[in-house]
Amino acid sequence: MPLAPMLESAIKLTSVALAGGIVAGVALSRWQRAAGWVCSLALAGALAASAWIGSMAWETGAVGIEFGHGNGWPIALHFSRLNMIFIWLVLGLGLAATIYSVRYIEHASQAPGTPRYAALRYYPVLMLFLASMVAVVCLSNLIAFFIAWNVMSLAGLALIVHEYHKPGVLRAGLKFAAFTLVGNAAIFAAIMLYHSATGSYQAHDGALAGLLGDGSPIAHLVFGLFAFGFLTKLGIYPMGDWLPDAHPAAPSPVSALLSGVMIKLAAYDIAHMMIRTTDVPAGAMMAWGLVLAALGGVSVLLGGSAAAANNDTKRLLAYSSVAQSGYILMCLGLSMAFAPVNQTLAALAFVAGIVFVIADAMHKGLLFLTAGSVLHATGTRDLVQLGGLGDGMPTTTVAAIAGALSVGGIPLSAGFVGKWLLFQTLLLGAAVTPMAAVYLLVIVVGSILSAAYALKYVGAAFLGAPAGRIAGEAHEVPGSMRVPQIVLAVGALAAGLWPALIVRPALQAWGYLGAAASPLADLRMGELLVPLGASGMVGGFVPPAVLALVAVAGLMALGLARLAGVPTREVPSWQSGLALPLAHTRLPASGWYWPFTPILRAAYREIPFPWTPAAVPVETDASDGS
Amino acid sequence: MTLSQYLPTIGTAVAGMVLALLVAPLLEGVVRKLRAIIQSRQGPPVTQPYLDLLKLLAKEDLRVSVSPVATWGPPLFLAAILVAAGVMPLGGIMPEPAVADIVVFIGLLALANITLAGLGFATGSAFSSLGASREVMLMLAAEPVLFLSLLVLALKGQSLTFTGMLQAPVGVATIAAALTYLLALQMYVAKIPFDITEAETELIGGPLSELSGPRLAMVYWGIYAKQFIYSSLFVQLFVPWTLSFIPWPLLAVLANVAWVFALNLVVVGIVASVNPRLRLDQALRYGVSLAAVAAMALIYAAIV
Repeated sequence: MPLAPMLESAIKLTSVALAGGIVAGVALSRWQRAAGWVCSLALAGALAASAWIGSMAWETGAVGIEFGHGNGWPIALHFSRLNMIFIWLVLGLGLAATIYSVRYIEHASQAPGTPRYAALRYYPVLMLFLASMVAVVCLSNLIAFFIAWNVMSLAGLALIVHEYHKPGVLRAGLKFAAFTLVGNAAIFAAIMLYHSATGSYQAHDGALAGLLGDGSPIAHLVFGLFAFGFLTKLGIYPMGDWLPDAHPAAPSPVSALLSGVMIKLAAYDIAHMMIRTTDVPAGAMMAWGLVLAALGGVSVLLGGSAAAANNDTKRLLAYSSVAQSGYILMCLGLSMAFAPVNQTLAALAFVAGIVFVIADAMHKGLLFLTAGSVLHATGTRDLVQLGGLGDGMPTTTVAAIAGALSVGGIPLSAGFVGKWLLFQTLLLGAAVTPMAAVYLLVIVVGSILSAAYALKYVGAAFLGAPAGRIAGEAHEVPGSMRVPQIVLAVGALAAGLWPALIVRPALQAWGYLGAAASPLADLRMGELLVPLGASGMVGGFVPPAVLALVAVAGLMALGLARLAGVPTREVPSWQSGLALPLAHTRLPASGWYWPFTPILRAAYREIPFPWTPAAVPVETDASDGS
Repeated sequence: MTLSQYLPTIGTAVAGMVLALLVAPLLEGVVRKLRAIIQSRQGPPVTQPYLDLLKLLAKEDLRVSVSPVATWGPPLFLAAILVAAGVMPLGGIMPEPAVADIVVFIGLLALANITLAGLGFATGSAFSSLGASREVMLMLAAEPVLFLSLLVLALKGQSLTFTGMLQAPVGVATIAAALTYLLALQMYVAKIPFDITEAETELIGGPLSELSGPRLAMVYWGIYAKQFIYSSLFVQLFVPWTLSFIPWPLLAVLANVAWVFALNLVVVGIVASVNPRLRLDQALRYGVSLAAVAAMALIYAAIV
């Protein structure tokens, strides 16, 4: 087989690039900028080499290889279409975040009170974090997987507490450690039980679902323990409550990676091990799938509410990640439930889940980077103190608007594609289980909440009037921080205008997991058509045509205004006849969405965490008075 | 499929957009006249909204913000609403092959709402910002009712496309959905008692307060067109049999427009004339009650 040597060299190239990144991070730790650039270069190399692996995996569906047969500790690696998507997300977003880090970390380590050696350990740990994430998805032996999973968790912890001198950071790290410890203990117990039940540490596709086939209580225990561990990592409420604390504590490029890819690896493991179409008991899978989907639904509602009520840029985005993880889990749970009974429908749910993963990696990664730019420019995360950054930071503002449109699920953005596919799944799913109608209700409310928090983030930070001197003097970030934002923004919009870009890989990944007919008609013109159901066509969406219509309508609207060709004049805003500065009369973020803010805020109850007092600053509320 | 196959749909859509653009101000004029009659006033002529829009288009554009949101917001607001008008059926004529289903349709209207709220926040003025904040909250009240009542039809017709939804058999669930849609119509079009976003007497126009000239005209035009869309959607989806027997398409379109006027006079006009504005929490409570009914109809439709 000529594939093996080629695959071996591709894997070696990738590993060398990643290891080179770690070594360069250590060796160049005294020259921060150089370390950042060399690490970026190493990641670009790893990305190119992984594209080579991917081209081989894509052809056959999956390829595997074993190293070190001789020494008794063989390391088996597998590359499938599904895990290549995740490897590319890790390396791609990793590259964007590392380039972004160069100036960000340099600036952050100059802040007064920063420990002298804080900056030295950043790049090696970051590279270790990225390398361990790649290892997590491609190691097929469960023990090796568990080791990589823990390295990832530890490197993640080190990055979360990178700025440990700041208030609240250590507490967030401690909380992350405690939750992760419980989750990982569950995974470890599950691996041991899995070994005792099957006599193997190999986790092939759908292994856990297959285990349920024998109907023993142990199988359900294994499934449940794995699910608990993965849900902890995914940030699902309540076991994932570490997330809203850890994301704001970490440096912004790290937040982008935690939210953009690390938590998504749990989604990979669920998709990889828990979905299977044949030889599984339909009843048990339906029950597990619907329970997981319901937990996802809870997170959609609670995360969305908490995000819409929050006034901290990064905490708002962290709650939004809870909601987006909820969507992902709902899709994967539905796919799990439908897999034994209706493969086409399961494929549709699976594609929706993977599209959510890709879309959220792009837009959440982007939004955390924009939050980092705001922090870089103003030194604050407080939406109450921000406002009017649009004038000083035009590029970041436009990027943030693109990200917000996508996370808010507005048509012609990547986030909308996932939501659209989920609607199609649920409508068809209602014929299988009436629970689908309840989930429809959940995502209708969830969509509005996501639009509300997306608007709040952009509106309170970038639009409106500057609150004071800090926001008023904000400047645009350097080019190496702007470029990653622009690239991600373009990606989020391009995937929305031409959904085939992200839908096709997801569909092909399913094609290798289960051999069902495609739920979508051909995607050649970028259109999404679901020719299923009794009516023959569940739904259709042709983004290029809709874009053309928006262009025609926009030209009509602009034509009306241009016909008149009136002069424009800049004037101060109307303050009831008083000459007050806008900064005194504006509505601060804490007054938004009043009088429902307290209700929305109360919806998400933080899991009580002992040892240290809450470090969250007390939020002030202003009343609408209506 | 090739893109050229979608050209007929794009053609119909453009026709629908132009119709909505032309008829919507007359609709507003007729409703204004009715309100005047109910309130024992003489009222302006029914063509007044056209004159208002023309006058605004010719007026100087005073801006408080030069941000791109303020510049591109009003045309985007109007465009999103017009596209929604273009992709929905009119007079029983389906835009085939469909380029957008009900999820995209609602997404476009949500884009319009979000744009209006964004415009409000962009000015930095407290009046605008408060109005924008309320716009989002009102969305939270109205959108679930709209979405859920349409989903009942989609569930019954096993399709999210407009064509498929028309195949929904009439039953308890669809009748309940039609009733909730009708009861929430006032909320969708944000007329009194749900004009909470603009609330002229307290927020001096909310998000509209800092707009002037052509940009204000575009937003007004969009608001009038929204009124047309929501009424026409009721006719198209819940009582399509009132149009389906008409043999000539042009006549069916006219009948559709007549229906929209009747619906606006009877429901929108009269309710707006005899009610005071609700508080935001009252509006939300009203929305939640209707959404609960629509949700029950949806679950009933899924089970039965």
